[in-house]
Amino acid sequence: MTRTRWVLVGTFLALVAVVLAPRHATEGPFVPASPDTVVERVPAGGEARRARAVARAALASKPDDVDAAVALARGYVEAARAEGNDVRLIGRAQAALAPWWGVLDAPPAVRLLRATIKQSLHDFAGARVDLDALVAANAEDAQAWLTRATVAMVVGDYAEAQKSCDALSGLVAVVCRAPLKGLKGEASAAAKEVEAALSASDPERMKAWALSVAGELHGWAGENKEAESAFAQVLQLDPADDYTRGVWADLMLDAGRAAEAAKLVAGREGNDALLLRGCEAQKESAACETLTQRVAATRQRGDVVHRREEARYTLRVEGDAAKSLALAVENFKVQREPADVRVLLEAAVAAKDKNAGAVAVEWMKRTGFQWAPLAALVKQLEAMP
Amino acid sequence: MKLRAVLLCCLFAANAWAHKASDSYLTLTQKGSEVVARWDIALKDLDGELDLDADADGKILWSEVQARQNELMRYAFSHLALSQGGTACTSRPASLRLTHHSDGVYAVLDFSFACAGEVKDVSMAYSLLFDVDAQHRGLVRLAGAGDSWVSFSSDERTRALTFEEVSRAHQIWEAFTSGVHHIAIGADHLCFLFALLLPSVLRRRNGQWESVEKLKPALLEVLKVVTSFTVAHSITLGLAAFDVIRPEPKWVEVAIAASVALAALNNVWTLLPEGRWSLAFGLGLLHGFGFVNAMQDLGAGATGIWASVLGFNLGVEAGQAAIVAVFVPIAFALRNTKLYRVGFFKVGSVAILCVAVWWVFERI
Repeated sequence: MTRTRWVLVGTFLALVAVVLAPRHATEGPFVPASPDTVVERVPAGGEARRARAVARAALASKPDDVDAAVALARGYVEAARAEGNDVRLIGRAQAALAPWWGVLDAPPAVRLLRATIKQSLHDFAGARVDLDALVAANAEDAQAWLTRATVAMVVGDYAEAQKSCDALSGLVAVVCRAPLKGLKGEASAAAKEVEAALSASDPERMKAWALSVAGELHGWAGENKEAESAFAQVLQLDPADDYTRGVWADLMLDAGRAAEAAKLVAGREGNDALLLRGCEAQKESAACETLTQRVAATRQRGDVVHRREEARYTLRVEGDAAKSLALAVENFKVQREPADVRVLLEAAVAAKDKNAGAVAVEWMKRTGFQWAPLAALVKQLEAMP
Repeated sequence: MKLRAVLLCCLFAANAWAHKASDSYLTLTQKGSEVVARWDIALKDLDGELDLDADADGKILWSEVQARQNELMRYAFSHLALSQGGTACTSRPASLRLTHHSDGVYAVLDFSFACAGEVKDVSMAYSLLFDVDAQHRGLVRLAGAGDSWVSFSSDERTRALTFEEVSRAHQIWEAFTSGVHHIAIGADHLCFLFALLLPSVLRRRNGQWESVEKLKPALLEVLKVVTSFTVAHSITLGLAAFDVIRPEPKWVEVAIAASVALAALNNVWTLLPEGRWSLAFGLGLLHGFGFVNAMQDLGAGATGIWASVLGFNLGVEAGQAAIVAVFVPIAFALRNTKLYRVGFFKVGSVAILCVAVWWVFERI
């Protein structure tokens, strides 16, 4: 055949390939081919779901019954936690408490749930109002003290966090104080204290929580082997603990073990934070495509509560340092956990903006916090003119 | 004291970036005295209210959704109201489909509101899910007014909306691009087209396929095939769009797959040696019904539907013409080669036949 013919054949084959290439499955509305097509997956009807249905019916028959409302809201908060902090369930908990939501002097059980819900929605100031009132009214309210310690720690109010932990006793107190000690640069010792305080008779959920804290502390101290062993135990006890899964995935990503990180978060992409880790582990993957759509949908909604992760996404996935820095700066005004410090430092270094990162450097110096990736970032930032 | 503390424990866990919250997406298009609407609601959210997963096995089947279609519509429409000048517009549900969003599969409700007089300034009341999910938002987009979204929340359930004029030309253009798009993404349509085009540079003589000598008769043949196909699908698309005949979509899909198989089979084992245009016409009638589903995305209201049908048909034509323009010259140049006669014509036809037969079984 002549050369022209080969060119024509090539063009023809290319044309056929283009028109017959598999199309993206998400394009446009569709009608499933068969009635037996599984169109969506939801949590199967377990004991907890049935219990919530009963609680919902109870509240429907007595809409003013505060006990019924609290029972339903608590069921949703528990489910939200068990199903990886699903905001749909947090919103349902909030709706169950609707008649009391704006009542300042609501019953204590309502205030405790309201504080937990507000904390989940990143309304830390709102949560603090309820928690302060609860512990003022009842200094024995361990749950209120514990949640108060968490909220204070997230916003960087370490004195109040310490005070809250000191009001607790036993293992809870040890685990509560450990991160505060870790933030002072004594993460390794704090982790060992938690592990020493654990005993075989502790309830599983307690153990999972304590080990998660210990694992994160080991990670800060650079003791990766110990950290990973703790995380593995946590996920064995509670496979739905997406927070621990995310921290572990971060540790793997930092160590350059992207394939392992991708495997760890696979199947839990409903959680945006884990979807982000999955995308970071495998650039150009389906996870990235879904993530981009989900971030767009969240921005369209107008939510600003997840600035930390959005800043990280904007920097590491979109590669927009300036935009990421703006988000990280706003986030740091509200949240001051090590992960918040980290994203601010990363964005400041990427954007070559020494001034914007100064608050994070100051935080590092004031707390005495030590974590290798952060120390490296501080060094880079300080070396800038 | 310690035990109670564990009840809601997990200090840090609460601060993980969570799942996407619940949103529904409502697009409104003004068409004369009608508002055409497409409303996407997450199946997860509907499941929470209607227990779509009837057997609680964690899987929602399409049959489980279909079985509750009426209730689902009733539930949705009891939480949405539109009024103009104090007079309520009446809603008319049309169909239920599904679509993918970033956080799962959503039900797509296609419907329209009939208002008194030309629609311009309306008041909308939205209350879907607010009583059960305080974080739910209703995101509403007015077509033709850029890509701005109006958000309804449990604190803001009623809003005034103003529609901007959408010109007829714009409407036709939208339908046109949708028609082109349909050709570009519709694998069954393309297979059908290729099955009819492959023999266009050949002809049947004494039970053998021979090359045509000149380009002109080949082009004439293609023109006849494509035109008769177009005329046929325009007829049925028009009939279906104006609701004169509306066959069951499932069987239309099956019949279309069968028609592709038939067209390919005709190349391998000649049933209809001459006048492929009649085959194209008959099968075009079927494909027209298939286009109705694609055209629903345009949300054409009754008053302007002719413009959408016209634009869509022109778009389909343009898409087909583009493929013909590239295909026929190449096929003509290669018509005498063994590669074309065997590789493209025979093997290609058999391949299309196989795919089409598989589609038939998949769709039944």
